[in-house]
Amino acid sequence: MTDSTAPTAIDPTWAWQPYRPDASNPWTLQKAGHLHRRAGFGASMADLDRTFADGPEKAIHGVLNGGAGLAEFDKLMSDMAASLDAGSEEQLRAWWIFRILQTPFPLQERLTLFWHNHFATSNAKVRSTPLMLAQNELIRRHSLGSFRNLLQEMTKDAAMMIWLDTVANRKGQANENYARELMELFCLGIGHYTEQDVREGARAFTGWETRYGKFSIDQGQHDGGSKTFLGKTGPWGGEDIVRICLEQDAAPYFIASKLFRFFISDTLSPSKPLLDPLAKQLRDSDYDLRGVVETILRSNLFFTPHAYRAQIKSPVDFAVGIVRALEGHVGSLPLAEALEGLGQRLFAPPSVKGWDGGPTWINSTTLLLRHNLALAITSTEDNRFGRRTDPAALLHKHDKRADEEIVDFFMKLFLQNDATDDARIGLAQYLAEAHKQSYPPYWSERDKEDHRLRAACHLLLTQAEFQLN
Amino acid sequence: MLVVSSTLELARQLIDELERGPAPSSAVRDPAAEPRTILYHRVQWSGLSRYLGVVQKRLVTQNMLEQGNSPEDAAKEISVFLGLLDHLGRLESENRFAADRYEVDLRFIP
Repeated sequence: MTDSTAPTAIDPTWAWQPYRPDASNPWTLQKAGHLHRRAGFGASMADLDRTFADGPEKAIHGVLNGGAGLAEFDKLMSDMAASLDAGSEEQLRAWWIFRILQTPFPLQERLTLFWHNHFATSNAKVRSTPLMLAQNELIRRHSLGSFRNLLQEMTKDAAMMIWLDTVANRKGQANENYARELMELFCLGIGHYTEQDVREGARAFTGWETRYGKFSIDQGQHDGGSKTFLGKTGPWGGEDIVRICLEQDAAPYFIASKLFRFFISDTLSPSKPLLDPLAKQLRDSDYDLRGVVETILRSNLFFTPHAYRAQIKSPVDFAVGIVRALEGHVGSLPLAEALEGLGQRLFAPPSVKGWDGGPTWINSTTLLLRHNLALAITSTEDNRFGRRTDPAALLHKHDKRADEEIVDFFMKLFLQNDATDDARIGLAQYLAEAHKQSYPPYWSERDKEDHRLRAACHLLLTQAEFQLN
Repeated sequence: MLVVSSTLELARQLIDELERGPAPSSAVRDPAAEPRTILYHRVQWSGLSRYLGVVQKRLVTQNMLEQGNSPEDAAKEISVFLGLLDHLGRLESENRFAADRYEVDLRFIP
């Protein structure tokens, strides 16, 4: 994607102004694909064509509001959640993957995944799938709502209280874990608090406990004395600590910075002036997430090379993107298991800091596993995934027969024509050479042709460009 | 009658014995060969079907997560499976343990 308007040094005012297509910087298929990858989990051909035809204004409105049938889908997912085997983390992971695969509101799931990584609670310690599910649903409710409400409720969330030891916080023996991570990881960042603030903050959470999975306070264990926290003195309780954190100048910058890394670039370090408009919007709107996410998605900066394919796909992005693009269906139980092999075990991030992401997603082992997973999904021969995510069937559905049409279709669907000439020529050559391969004698001509198409699709999915988001 | 045995040779012998019929009533009965324990089992597939029907929602969810089926397709698959169980009727087995032999009698009853 070229963008003649992108400045070398990013002008903050220009950066967050809405992108308006013009002759020098038109709305393109690449930008439509970029929107679906960053605000969702990729696109089918119909999604791409519709988004391109709609233009950015209408397309982003659709992304922010989700598609039709959301209420019915939510009801289905609630019913499924009620039918999960108690204690089965595998089923819980599969339930979420099912949701990500099928949702008519991909941005909501993408942000749920983002906040799951932000609050990074692991069932390895919580050991309760109902509590992990409840936290997941809490995040989803607030994923495009108020960060203030999200943080206040997360502080009282049973899974979080177990994860960061709030339940072990007793008067006279304050456990500092939650107070520290609240400031370091959830809303301020290192350098914006002192060890004394950690100790004083921890006192405010003493006596907090869970009863039958619900938050409650044991007043006998609560330290109701005066505390001085981040320069403010009073008989603060836990809610006051969260409120005072969010009053700090650093808080909106911290959240804006995390959103910047997620939506724009996780390699570009944003300057404070670049974050100023987002931080101001968060502060002025009392931490309304929807507004600031909309600003980012509509921005000039979002549609520049600074953001375009500037991230490495997470395992979820990679696998779900393939299935959604191929309009297929796979079992989410085996898919969740495969994602674990690629380094992303949902409901079990590796530490309180979540997944490192970015370049750490790819190494020689995970790259090979990605190729194998792409083969398993597209070959239709892997028993785990069945035959219902079939590139050949998709080509037949779109009536693509000639090799040139097939190359064009796959290049547009998966890469929005970003591939190098060499990649395009290589794919065309493969299709031509594949005719000469030997096949089992009992294969029909249709079997051979479909195998050739699936193999070509797999070849494209192993391209470096497809690993980029 | 269904004969199950560990080898073909034994199966043939059992069939021959069964075709020959019971020994004359005047024959001397060997007390050691009399069954000492007889176990009866009856599996009523419709009962299993009824039990699974109670947890049908859970089976449908499991099917959706394993196969990626839609709720409708998953419900249809589970329904067909439960219908098949209903259709199988019942399985009865009789196990006879004697000092010098062990006999199993399996019967599928529609």
